[in-house]
Parts: sequence; structure tokens; C-alpha cells
Amino acid sequence: MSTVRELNRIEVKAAVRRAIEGSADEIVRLARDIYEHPEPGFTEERTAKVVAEALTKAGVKPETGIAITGMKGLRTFNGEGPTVAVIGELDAVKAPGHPGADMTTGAAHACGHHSQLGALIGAAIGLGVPEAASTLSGRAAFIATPAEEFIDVEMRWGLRESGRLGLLSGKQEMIRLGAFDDIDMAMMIHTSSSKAQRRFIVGGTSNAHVVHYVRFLGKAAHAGGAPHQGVNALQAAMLALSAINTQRETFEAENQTRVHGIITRGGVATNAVPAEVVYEGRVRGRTMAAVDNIAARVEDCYRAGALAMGANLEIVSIPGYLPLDNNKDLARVFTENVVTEFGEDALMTQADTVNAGGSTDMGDLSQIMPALHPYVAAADGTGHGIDYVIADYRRAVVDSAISMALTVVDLLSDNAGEARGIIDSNKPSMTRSEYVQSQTDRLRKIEYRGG
Amino acid sequence: MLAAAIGLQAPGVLESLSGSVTLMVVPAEEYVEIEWRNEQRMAGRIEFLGGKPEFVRLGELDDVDICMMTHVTTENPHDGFGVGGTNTGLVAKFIKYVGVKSHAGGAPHLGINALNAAHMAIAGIHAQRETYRDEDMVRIHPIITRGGSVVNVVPDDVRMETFVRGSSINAIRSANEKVDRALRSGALAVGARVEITTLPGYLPLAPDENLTALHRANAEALVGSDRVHEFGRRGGSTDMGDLTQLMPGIHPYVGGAVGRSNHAEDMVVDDYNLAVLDAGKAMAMTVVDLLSNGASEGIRVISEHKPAMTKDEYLILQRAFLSERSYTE
Ligand SMILES: [Zn+2]
Ligand SMILES: [Zn+2]
Repeated sequence: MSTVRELNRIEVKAAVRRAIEGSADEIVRLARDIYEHPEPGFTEERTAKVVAEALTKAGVKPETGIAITGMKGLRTFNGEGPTVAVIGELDAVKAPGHPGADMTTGAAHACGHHSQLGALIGAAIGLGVPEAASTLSGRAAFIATPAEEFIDVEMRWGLRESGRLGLLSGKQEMIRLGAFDDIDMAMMIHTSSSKAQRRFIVGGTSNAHVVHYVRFLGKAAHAGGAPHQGVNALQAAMLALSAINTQRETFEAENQTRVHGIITRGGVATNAVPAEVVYEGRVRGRTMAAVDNIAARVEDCYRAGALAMGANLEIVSIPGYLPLDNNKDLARVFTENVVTEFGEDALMTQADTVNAGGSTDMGDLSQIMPALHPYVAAADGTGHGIDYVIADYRRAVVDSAISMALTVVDLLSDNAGEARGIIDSNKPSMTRSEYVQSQTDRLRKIEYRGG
Repeated sequence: MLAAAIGLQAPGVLESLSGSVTLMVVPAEEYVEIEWRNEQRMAGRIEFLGGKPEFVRLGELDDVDICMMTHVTTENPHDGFGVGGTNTGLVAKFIKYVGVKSHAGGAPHLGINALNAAHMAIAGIHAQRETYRDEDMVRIHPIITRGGSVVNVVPDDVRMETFVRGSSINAIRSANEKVDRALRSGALAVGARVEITTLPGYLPLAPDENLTALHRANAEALVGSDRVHEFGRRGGSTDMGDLTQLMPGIHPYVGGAVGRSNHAEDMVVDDYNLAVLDAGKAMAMTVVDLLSNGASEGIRVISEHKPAMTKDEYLILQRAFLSERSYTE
């Protein structure tokens, strides 16, 4: 009996792979097209249109406009069963000077998200074959999420103030809106420029973080004629950043603390004392508790800058990402497929403790359901740098699509036994409503009068 | 001073003068070693940390109507006198940052670095500089008198001293408030505590014009008018400033010294004839001018001078500068 079933599954997988291989040119073309039209988070209008059309063409007409530009398409298989999501991220980061950068916005696919979308469509095409429809149980969801890069904080805060957003990243907001309520587990593959010759890297974690949107408020005056009548908000911000730097020696190495930010407004005219300076920053660390500790110190540093100059201050502390918890069972199924399809040499596994220092909202998802976030080594350059480009589209798009689609086949074959087993043996660290509640509670607006 | 005293004792001089001449030797014009002097203050041995303010408090100047002294300078003219001009006043501050010790290599996360607090405070003081008006002559120049115990322990006790100088009492007061902000912000930035002791210092120098004119004429008679210069606004401070707020007084300068500036390690007096003898002669001759003819000039100088404050007002003003406060933000 079981030999027949195994044979069936191999045949299903072969059909799925054939379909993806057959669409290779099409999905790589789609990825390249998106690369040419990079759009930052929550403005991925064109990208969303392209992806929605491709999903529809693959037979999965998505519900669109979730969390502004997000979408979700469902394919229902033969039998009852759980729902497995394959995710692609819609947004570009900003990297002016990148060869693929948009001249006006500076947005560029310097994080390779465009190839995730090619892989997403490839997986949708692959899982659309009749062999899958007839043998799998449950559903596959194809989800394109907006705004993974936590940037343009002021703009997003504005969207929140006008009621268009609740939480400020794509997956966070889609979770809040219930788009993941009927999803049981999720996976995506992110590109990497790891020099490892291995195709896929599985395992590791990511940093938690909070996002700070800080306004230093001084008083304008003629910077030459009457500097004594002004209150210099830029000096307040500079002092705050220097103060933060004095704290670096207190960061514990094992916590992998990162504190960094940008000044998005630093004054309006060089001959006026800057009255408003806006800083967008991050505090990252391995655990939320560690992040909270450091963030409290950092908030004191903002206050210290304002106090020194007699400026006022508004700090918006915005819930950022939770650490990534790669599900071991999903990783096992995924790595088996990588090894079978691409050989032992194609796989590199790393310990759960390995943390490159970055953060992803896939981390949030991984706290409420089994989730997997491997990397495909297909890029050159440094992530978010102007030299980060996909060097191997076949790997980034086609191989990723194959490995995810075949993982879905394993999860949902045999009455979705594997998927059901994973759900039974993996209790998420929090429920969805607990997640939404705790993230919403984390949002704080602090005002401080240093003047 | 001794030269003037000797000159005034020349035969017949004292007999021709009315009134009296007092020679005063005053300690501690340089407002330094603030921590030590503050301990003397707390032990009740002094109230003010400068010699002349303390003399005023003790009543040593109650019977004095007019005062003068001559200070040596490296400034031009090297071969003559500088007269007139103003000096800034000041308040002095003694600052202590209290952090938490820990192993600087093994457990810096358990420490609170008081030196970093002081560093941020100084950065804050610098960031405020653009807010000071040129005419206020604000000068703030801290030193760190204790910066940690040993290099592999996070510093938990860091001490600073600074002056806050300005050309007017209001300028000093407003700058002092800003400096306090910067000092508090250093503590807030690193999570330390700061203890700020603000001590009354010196008032701005306001030389009496009539007295300046008398002295200037004598200086010109001694060295020639091309070697007597009118000084302008000066950034340093002297407790002679306090006396000029209470009575007619002058604090002219005499050359005869070389070096980068006063208080520099290369500052030496190289012309004692000028710095001691001519300075003494000019003062003695001015005393003669003041006290001859029934001290008519002296009486005119006193009557035309409007003191900025009485001794009681002076003591109230200075004592109001004293504060000892502790902040964590
Ligand atoms: Zn990315
Ligand atoms: Zn001196």
C-alpha cells in the first residue's frame, strides 16, 4: 500500500516540478519586470497588480487590497485539510545609486524581494497541476505581503493616524486584519548573497526590534542674526545620537544589540536654527525583553538631547518584529526536498542560534504558527547595498518555487498527515489575538518637555 | 603695592594729604581648587571662595571708599599700561557624577559610566555655544578633576569644575541655567546621578571713569601717552570686579611680562622696573591726586560714582548663587 502511495507522491512531485520548469522563463521575466519597477512598502501598487494578474492566470484569483497592497489567493485541493501558505514580499528597500533604483523614490530591489514574487507565482503554477489537485488535502494559500522593510516610518505613521493602518508592517497588519486566521503554517524563501556555494540555507533566527519615530522640537530663529533666540533641534538630535553611542559599551555581545537610525528631516534652511528634526531609528536585540531594556536607555538619550538644548520631544515607539523561530518540522520537510531535488551539496543548515542581526516580520508569523524562512544563495553584493543584485535568477526564482511547492506536496499528501502532525506537535508561543493585543499595546507615544 | 607705600612715605607727602591710605594684601584671587575651597567653606572656615568677596563679607572694606590695584599682563603694550576695560563676572561650579562600578571588560553592562555622563555634559555645553550673544562674553571651560579610578573599572565617580562667565549678571545667570541643563542631560543620558554645586564667584569689572582718568594721566606722565592703551572688553574675571560694584575702583594693567598669555606656562615678568616700580608710582601719584587739597578729587570721585549695589545687596546677590542640587534627569 505504502509503496503505491510513495510512488504517487513522486509522480505528483514530478508533475509539479515539470510545470514550474515549464514556466521558468515566465516567472523569471516577472521577477525581472518587478525589479525594474521597485516600489517601497505600502505603495506597491504596480507590483501588486502584476502579481495579482499572474496569480489569477495561475488559477488562484487573489483577494487584493489587504493591508493596502497585500493579497491572498487560495487553492483548495481534493480533501479536507490544513492550509499551508507560500509567501512573497512585495516591497523594495531604498538604495539610491543601486543600478535598479527608481530615480524619484530611490527604491530598489536591493533585498531581492522581486525574486520571491517570481517564486510565489512559480509555486502557484506548480501546485495547480491536476496531479496535485487530485491527491492533496487541504489548501495552499499564496500570499503577497506588503512592506517587510520597516522604512518610511513617518509616512506609515501618517497612514496609521488616518486609520488606514493598524500595525505598520505588511505581515503584522495582515495578521491584525485576520488574513492569517485560516492559515496553519507558512513559508517563504529570502535571497542571500552568502558566499556559500550551497543553494539553500536553512535555520537560524533573527533579531527582535522596536522602531522609533522621534521628533525633536526647537524654536526657529535667524541662525546668524539671533541664534540666542532659537532652540536648536538638530543639536538636540546630535547630542541624543552621541549619548546613544556612549551606551554601546553596555550592550552585551550575546544580545547582538543594534541601535541605528536616520535623520529624515534636519532643518529647513541653513540660515535658520532648525526647529524640527525627525529621526527614525531601530533598537534590535535577540529577545524582546533585551530590546525593551535597551530601548528604555535609548529613550533617555533622546530626552537627554532635548534637555540639554531646552527642546521638546515626541517619541513614538512602534512595535517592530519578533525574533524568527524556524519550525524544525517544516525545516525537515523542506531540507528533504532540497536534498532530493538538488543534491546534498545544495543544502547548508545552520544552528537555531545563528543570528545575522537583521529582522523580519516573518518572525512575527513564526510566533503564532509554524513557519519557515530559509535563504537561497543567489545574489551578489551586500544586502540593502547598492551592489546587491540577483546573480542567479534560476536559483532565486525557479529553484525556490520548486522547493517550496514540493514541500507543500509533502505536507498535504496522504490526507495532509505531515501538516496535521506539525500542527499537533507545535504549539505556537502565542495565539493570534494575544499577538495582536501585545503588539498593539507596545505602541506608545511619549512626550517630553525639555524646554 | 609696596612701591606705592614707599612713595607715599616720602618726606612731606602724607602731611599734605587728607584722609587715609590702606594697604591691603588679599588672598586667593585665582578661583581654583574649587573642591578643596568648597570643603573649607563647608567646614565653616570661609563663606566665599575668593579673597576679596570674603574680605567684603568680613567687613574689611567697610571703611574703604575707593580702591585700586594694578595687574601685570603679557598683552600689549609690553612697555606701558593698559587702562579702562571690563572683565567678565563668573559663577563657579563643582560637579560630581555618580555612576556604578563594574568590570570594564568583563561586565560593562552592569556599570553606569560616570565619565560618559561628564562627556555628554561637555558635549551639551558645546552644543549650546551658538546661543550666546557676542556682547555677553559667555565663557564656559570645564576641567575634569577626577575621571575614574583605574582603567579597567567603569568610572563611578567623576568630578568636574567649571566657571560660567559673562559680561553681566543676567548673562551669567542665563548661561548658568543652560549649563545646568547640559549637566543634567549627561546624567540622564547614561542613567547616572549628578550633584551640582554652584558657588558664588566674581562680579563683572566696572572701572570708575573718573578714577581711570586720574590714573591714566599719571601713567602717561611716567611712560608717555603712546605707551598707555585703552583696554576693551576682556574675557577674564577678577574679584576686583566685586569691589567696583560697591565703590569707585580701578584695575589697570601694566606690561612687563612675556608669554602666550597670563596663566600660560611660559608667562614670566621680564621688566620689573615697569611691572613693579612704574605700577607703584602710578598708583601712588593717583592717591596724591585723590587726597591733596582736602581730598577734593577723592570726594568728587565718590560723589559722582553711583555704586551698583550696597554691601547688603551684594551679599544677598552672591548668596543667591549658591546651590547644591542632585539630579537623575
Ligand atoms: Zn528582505
Ligand atoms: Zn591673575
